[in-house]
Amino acid sequence: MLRDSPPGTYLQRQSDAAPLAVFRILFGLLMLWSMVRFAANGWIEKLYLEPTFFFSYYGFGWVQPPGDLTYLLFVVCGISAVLVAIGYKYRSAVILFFLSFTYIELMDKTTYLNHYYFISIVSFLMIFLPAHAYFSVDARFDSDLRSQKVPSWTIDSLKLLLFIVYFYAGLAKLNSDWLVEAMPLKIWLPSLYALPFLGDLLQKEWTHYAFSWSGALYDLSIPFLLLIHKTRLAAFALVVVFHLLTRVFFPIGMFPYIMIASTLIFFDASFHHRILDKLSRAIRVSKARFDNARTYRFRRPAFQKASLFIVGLFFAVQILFPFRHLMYPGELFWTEEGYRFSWRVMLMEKAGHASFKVVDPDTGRRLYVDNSQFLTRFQEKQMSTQPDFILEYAHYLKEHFRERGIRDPEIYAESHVALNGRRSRPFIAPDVDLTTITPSLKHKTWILPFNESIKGM
Amino acid sequence: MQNFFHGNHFTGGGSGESLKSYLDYLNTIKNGADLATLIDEQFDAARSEIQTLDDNLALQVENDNAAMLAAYDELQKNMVLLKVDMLHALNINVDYVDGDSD
Repeated sequence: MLRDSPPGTYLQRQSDAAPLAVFRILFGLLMLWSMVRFAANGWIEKLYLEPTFFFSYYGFGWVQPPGDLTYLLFVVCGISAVLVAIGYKYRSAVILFFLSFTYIELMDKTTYLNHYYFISIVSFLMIFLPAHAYFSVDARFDSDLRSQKVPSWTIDSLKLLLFIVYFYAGLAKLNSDWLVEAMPLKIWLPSLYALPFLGDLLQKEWTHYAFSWSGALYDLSIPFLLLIHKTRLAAFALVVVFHLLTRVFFPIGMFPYIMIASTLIFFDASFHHRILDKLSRAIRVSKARFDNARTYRFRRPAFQKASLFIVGLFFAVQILFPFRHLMYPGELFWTEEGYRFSWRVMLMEKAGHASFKVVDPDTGRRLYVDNSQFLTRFQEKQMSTQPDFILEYAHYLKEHFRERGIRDPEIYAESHVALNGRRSRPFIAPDVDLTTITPSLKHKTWILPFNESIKGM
Repeated sequence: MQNFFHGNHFTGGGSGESLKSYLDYLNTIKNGADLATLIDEQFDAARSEIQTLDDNLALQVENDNAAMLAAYDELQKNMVLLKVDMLHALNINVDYVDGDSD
């Protein structure tokens, strides 16, 4: 990418726009499919309409599901995905997609997935990329926009983001649970005994180690193999095999297809032109019209500068943010302080149970909460192993019992968590009244110590 | 419950495949703590605590509530073993949304 050229000339370098156009089309279509699948599975109701309480990200308590309007939110998200795919009013469409998708994700952190976060930040990045300059409705009707070439950095920024995702996921796997214990694969794989052909193999311990080690090696090496011209085709074959295997093993949804489609960005423009040739014949749109040898220019130099500045800032955050766990004491897998948004994928199997004791200090009377009265099973499962959920729920319970007439309820959590095949152990200090703790990003001193260390990143 | 855990038949003797036998099998792969034995011992511990209690639990609470709480604690310990440790080892999700994971 950068080679020996000074940054000035790198920023002026141009590339064929076809890879960016193909990326835009595939991304839009996959997102439409995701939305339709989500709705068809009944997840809008189950995840955003049926629960009475939603867990918020710190600082985002104001983002709540808007009742029946949640359907509209998904419709907006789906339609903007289509507009992105066809490249019609692209900038507005991709901004709308980013906002609606991110809003949906912020409504309840119970559903947090690394790949949802990936989609949010890819769509954010796309706001600043001229992905509509080639083979789009916008470019079809706007000859000022229509360009066969785009600044190289716009394509390279997508490659860089994929590089970070894979490489950081690989770094995170360099820990003693994954490499030395083959955990959590040792828990997950044996339960797949019913798989044809592989079921028996997955019972063998050496298989768990083989998958753990090759998984780590894959994540660390694949971004390099995709960058190098000689190894690219083999690397892509690996991408397909790896992601389809994870598809067979785990309920991983759209993620494998999104990654397979995204990694196509590494291929040369000639490959993308062949795709667009086929597509243009299928939908009877002349591709020749777009091959005008023009280079895309931002409408004003200031736009280009602002875009570069924001994209630069974006990557600074992306590179540093996953290391924020270093600022917290304690075992990351246990406390999960700094665990999210850092490409820690498939690293943990946690099971937990938390029961909450409500004490009325005026009368000394106490009661235990039936969690199913307030939370769905899915929410309860996520809550029982994550301290920030436990605290937020305790505060919710405080308000609930206040309304029920207890003047100043105290809430205590009695909880046990098992992590990656270890025996369960007490999780939250049972003598801490959680209503006295203010939610913050500071270290949570009321998490009991893990008393074991998992070595590595 | 202990009978269920062992897979003992309701009528007559004999026992079939059970949560215990599957735990034992998984343990041969994992070399972890012998969870099946721990659960078994906890069943026994809880039972022996309960047997010290008066048949009339109301009387028991009035006379010696400490023994009542001790029995409750032993039962709670097994609740944790069954609901946390066992479900963890067996990779069972108690969940009705077949949502995605990553």
